[in-house]
Amino acid sequence: MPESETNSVRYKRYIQTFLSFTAISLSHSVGAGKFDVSGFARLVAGTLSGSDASYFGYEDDLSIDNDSLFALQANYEWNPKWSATVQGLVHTSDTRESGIEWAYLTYQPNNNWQFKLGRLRTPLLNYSDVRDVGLAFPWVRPPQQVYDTFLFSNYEGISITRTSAFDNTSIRLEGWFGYFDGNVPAVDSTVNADLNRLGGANATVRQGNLEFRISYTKGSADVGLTEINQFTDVLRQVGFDRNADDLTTSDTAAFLHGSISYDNLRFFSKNEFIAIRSSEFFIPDLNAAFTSFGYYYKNLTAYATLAFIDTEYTAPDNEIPLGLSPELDALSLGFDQIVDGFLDDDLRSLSLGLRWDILPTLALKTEIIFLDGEDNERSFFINNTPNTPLDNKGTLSLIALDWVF
Amino acid sequence: MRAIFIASLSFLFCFYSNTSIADELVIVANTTEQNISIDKQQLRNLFMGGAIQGKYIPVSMTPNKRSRIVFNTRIIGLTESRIQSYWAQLKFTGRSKPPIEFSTVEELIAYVEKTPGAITYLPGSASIPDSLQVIFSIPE
Repeated sequence: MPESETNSVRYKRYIQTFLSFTAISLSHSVGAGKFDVSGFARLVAGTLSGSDASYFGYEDDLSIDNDSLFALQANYEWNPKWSATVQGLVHTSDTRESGIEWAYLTYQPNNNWQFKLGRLRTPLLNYSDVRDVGLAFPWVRPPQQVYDTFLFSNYEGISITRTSAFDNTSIRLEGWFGYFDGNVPAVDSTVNADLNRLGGANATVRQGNLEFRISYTKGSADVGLTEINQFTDVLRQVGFDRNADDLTTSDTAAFLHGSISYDNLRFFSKNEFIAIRSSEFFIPDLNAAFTSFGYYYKNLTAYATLAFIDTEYTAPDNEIPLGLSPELDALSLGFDQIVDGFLDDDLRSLSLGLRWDILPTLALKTEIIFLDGEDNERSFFINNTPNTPLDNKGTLSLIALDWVF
Repeated sequence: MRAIFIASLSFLFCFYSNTSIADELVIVANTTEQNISIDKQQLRNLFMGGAIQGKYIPVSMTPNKRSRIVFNTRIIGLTESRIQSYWAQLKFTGRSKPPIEFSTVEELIAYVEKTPGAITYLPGSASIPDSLQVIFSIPE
């Protein structure tokens, strides 16, 4: 199917979902319980200048099908303690799956405890559970170095939250565990990942206008790439099990996140960092952080963000000897090619943006991001002309309309 | 060039603004409990979905109403846009729901009068029914 036709089908579906929503009532009682529907939508247009590459789907022509989305959330409350929530999402990006993002039961015995069971969003970062709700954050795109590096947006499992308040301090503690099995977007492909024994904990402490958050997540990952699986089958057949294991073995990765935020009537300061340590070849060790400062003036917020990421893949040793036979040489070369194909993503950026809250539920944003990636690496840029080297520099200009209802 | 122009435009908006508003506000509750003590910080937690919620039911004016702007400025300490962002996050993560809202003071008072545990803020000029207890007032 031609790409334009695919896009037109996608847009049609998007509009139909919207129109069908407007025809239904937002909130009403069903039997003894209470049913309500809410939702959110983002229309994001952007273009990449100063580069022939593609950066998170943005290229040198204007596109609206990378971050635009529409979601509906239905909530049924049997009583103040028990409720069920389902969220369906239609995403315009090819790398994101549309469908049920959330489906969970909530049990809230009192105001201090909350238990959730089902398909939930992963609470890795400050905004990762509302990564798609544009109105919840000031930026058009939350800083990519931190927000586009986590592998999965939801999990099946359980979450337990305890909230408490002492004088002027409120504390929120959450523990969660479960599993994830599905496709996750990588920079230039989609990979199937099976993450089991996945769990984490986070603590948020708010004192007045100052908020601290830390979270720790650990999981065992089994990432599958079809082409590599075929290659490792050959490696095993000829006895190079260790190198085959290097490319397939399920192993653990640990994820640490910390943040400090400050908000008052005049300005905000948001700062987050992440570190990933992995013994899995496919998941690089990485450090990333951003600092963002914003200034409020009436309904406008002007902001500037500095961000960086450093990644490093730990290349396994090649045990396949060279010079014994042409077949083994080819195999050895193939192994090196696979390992060398995992290029680091090292990128610094400065972004400047403006958010205008037109209505309490509607915001218009514009943001310009100056991207400075390392040469000779991938740095999140996808080279569309493989024979021409890239300098991994560019300017991403974005405009977005964010709506919740 | 286009990039520099947009960047310059963004920074043009970064100038000083004075957001303090000095209207009187009265905090009232529908409660039979005598001499209840709630300070500004607890009130902030209550209206931001904090753990104190449950004992009292926060009730608010709709955005852009004068008394809400005063309340945001002097109690919550955040702009309306930041408060909307905050509630978008809490609502769509199922953590908490924003207070029920009314667009007129009359409707607000009528709801608080018939709802035991309800707590709200009223402009100093509003006539306060005898059935409601004044918790504290924020002078001009």
